[in-house]
Amino acid sequence: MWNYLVRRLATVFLPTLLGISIAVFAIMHLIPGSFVDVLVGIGTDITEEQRAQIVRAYGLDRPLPIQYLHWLGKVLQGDLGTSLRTGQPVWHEIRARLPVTLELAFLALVLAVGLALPLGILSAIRPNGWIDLGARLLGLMGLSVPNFLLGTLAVLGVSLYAPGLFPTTGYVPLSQGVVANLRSLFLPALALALAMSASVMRITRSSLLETLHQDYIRVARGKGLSELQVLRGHALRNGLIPVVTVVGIQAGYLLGGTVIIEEIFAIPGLGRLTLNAIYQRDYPVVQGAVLFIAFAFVLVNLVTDLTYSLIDPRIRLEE
Amino acid sequence: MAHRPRLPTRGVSRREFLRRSALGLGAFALTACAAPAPPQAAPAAPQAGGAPAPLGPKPGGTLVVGKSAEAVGLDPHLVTARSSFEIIAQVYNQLVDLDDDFLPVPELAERWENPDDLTFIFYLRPDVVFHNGRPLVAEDVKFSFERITDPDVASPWSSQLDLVESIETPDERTVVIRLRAPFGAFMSTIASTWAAIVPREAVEANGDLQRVMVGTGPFTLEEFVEETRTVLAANPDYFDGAPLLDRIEYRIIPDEAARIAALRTGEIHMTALSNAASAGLAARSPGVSVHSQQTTDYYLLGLNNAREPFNDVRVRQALSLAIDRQEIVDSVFFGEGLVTGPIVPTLGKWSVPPEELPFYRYDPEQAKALLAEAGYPDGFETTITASPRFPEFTSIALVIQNQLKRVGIQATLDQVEWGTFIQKWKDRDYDTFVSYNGSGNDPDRALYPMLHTGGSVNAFQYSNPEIDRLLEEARTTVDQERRIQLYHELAQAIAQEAPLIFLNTRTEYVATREAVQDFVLSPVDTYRSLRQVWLAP
Repeated sequence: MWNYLVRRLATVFLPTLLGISIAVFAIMHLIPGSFVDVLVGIGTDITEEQRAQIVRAYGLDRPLPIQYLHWLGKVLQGDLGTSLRTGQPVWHEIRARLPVTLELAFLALVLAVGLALPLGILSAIRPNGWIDLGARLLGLMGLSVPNFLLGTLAVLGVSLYAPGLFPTTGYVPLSQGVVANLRSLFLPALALALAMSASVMRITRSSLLETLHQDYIRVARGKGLSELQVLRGHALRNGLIPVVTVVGIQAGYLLGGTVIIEEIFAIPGLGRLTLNAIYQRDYPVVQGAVLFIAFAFVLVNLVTDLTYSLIDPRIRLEE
Repeated sequence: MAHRPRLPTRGVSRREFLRRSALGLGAFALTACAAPAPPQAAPAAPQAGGAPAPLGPKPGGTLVVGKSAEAVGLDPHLVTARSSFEIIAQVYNQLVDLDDDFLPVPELAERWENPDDLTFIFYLRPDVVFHNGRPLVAEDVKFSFERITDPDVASPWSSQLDLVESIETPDERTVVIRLRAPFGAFMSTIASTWAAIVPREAVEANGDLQRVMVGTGPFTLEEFVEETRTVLAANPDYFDGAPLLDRIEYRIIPDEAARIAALRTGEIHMTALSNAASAGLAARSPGVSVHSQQTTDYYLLGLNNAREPFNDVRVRQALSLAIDRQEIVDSVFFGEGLVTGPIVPTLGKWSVPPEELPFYRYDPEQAKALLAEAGYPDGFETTITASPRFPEFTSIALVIQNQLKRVGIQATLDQVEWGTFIQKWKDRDYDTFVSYNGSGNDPDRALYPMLHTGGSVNAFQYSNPEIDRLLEEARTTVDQERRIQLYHELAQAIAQEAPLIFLNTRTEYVATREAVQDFVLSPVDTYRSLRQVWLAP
């Protein structure tokens, strides 16, 4: 297992992060409009010389590869740099907003799995029953409708037909009451959860359905075990392996998916930080935030892989 | 329109009331900066919320302000964003302030002398104390201005003080500023919010003032939780008298509809609104009133004078005739806004009424004739660049697109992200673009850098020796009456040349709860201090 971990880190983990950081750096400098352009705007009376001075003061006059390597060197020492716009350490900016995003992602995950697992299992037990049909319809919709549209529809629906049921915008910190906090996150979490629960539900259904047709399940039934015992003792354990993979991957996506949802619902999380940093061309913040999200994504994937061996001892990670 | 509760007894005008309460209570001294009236040119703003309570201003309470965007930093010398200046204006002071006619009045300097065109001697008030307890001295003024021009500080405002040659402090209360060349707009320049006086020790202790605030103003920074809230507390030692409010709390609510909802429920006391539609929505809510004020900002259609066909003055004049500015005001801004010439009407006596300017009357027939004369009898194709970052830019572009069609010009709308827009603007890579510009507090501020050959914001690539000469003369004339004459001449000359199409002024809207008393908007500085505001029970 340790060998596997080291190999994974060296061959997948680090190269992925390195590649992403290069891509983000390149894209941020390729798109039109630089940090200083956006800072100065279009109305400010400023000479070319003064503009150059500002560029120099922020260290943006150095060749791009040097800037990148300088950034990378600092990152390797555990320093994500400082925000050009606020002068704050990037890590502070991320840390201040991370709990909000994590809470949102966690709620979405709970909602998604809480919705998907029972529906998926019920569908698999009674394929083509009415629960199955309903769940498959919902699943198809959840997969095909993007979450930002769901989010906008949720805002519209609640404001028009049930104003006050849930706040449609803004975030209430946990310190101002658990209920108010959960209420403020319910709609965005739901918008995020629906698409995710659709994939989880579909994979739960198909995987469990396949497992339920295996010979050993028939043997279990033959032994006289009740359907519940069959499910609990034999089918679920095997049937849920692919589900863990899908939940893992989706959980990774959740962090990135919050970018647009946070903007729609005005949640001051990592997503809004990233988006605002992109608008303002605040390079260190964009690089730091994307690197962080990417890090979380590959980490979740790694954990998912490791979880297999716990669920299914047949999977040996050394191989 | 605005909800206006009836006055308790007989009608007392607001200003009248303010004057009386000032006389009657003494503690509430009115200074020129406390309650400016809207200028003549602007339509009267709806009356401020609520009837004056018969007992006069009542101190205490926390004013909760809904803010659309977080301050991007709090250092007056380093930021450029409105969201920052809104807070900075409550915490810092400048040497001088401006009155309703945009003429200087005392602030930190109690008086000044102007022995010659190049020398300004300021005498500081003796009773000003920074929030850290240290009295203000002349050295602070020198430090602040030199910090703005210090290349290492890289202040975006450094060019504004380019003409300052030296700053001397013969004693603790005297500052002598010498200029390289006569500069008519010098006093209004140092009255700007960014020209705040800051204490050296606070800068040295923190590196910059982006997260801490140590000013001399009526409020002190109590709490700054980014993206959540900012709390200011009253400064009991403010030199001009302590504010009436105990606290101001700013809450970040990016969504405008959410801010209006919060106002309706009383969760916040006041908020700025971005457009006429939401102002109308807010005004229809019980317990809410809306204040509006024409600003010195204006919308414009930029023309690329270096490109065909805009290098032909007849084409530019045709555009000026073909664009119905009032229609833009009516359809995009619901009638709120004033058609503007090269100098905005909000600047009062500095400006020339649009109807007295050449090529300002809407006349598509004459426009067509001019186009034919210039060799475009069937019009031409062009693009209008705009950014959805400011939704009204797109709306203006659509109206103009339609108006140009009537004279045969086919304009395509090119919508780009804000950073991309700035890049195109910088590269002069456009045919025409919609944007807005601030005139600040002096006509020189907008016109000189924008239209002088090679000016820093001359994205129109316009060059005309006669206009250059007039701009230079107006800039270096110190006699204000003569300057006004020169700007009237300039307005005529610029309208004749139409290097860009000046459209209409931007309206500022602020909605308040009834409880908010004595809140006034001003064209001079919309970040105006909230010192005189109080909350009715």
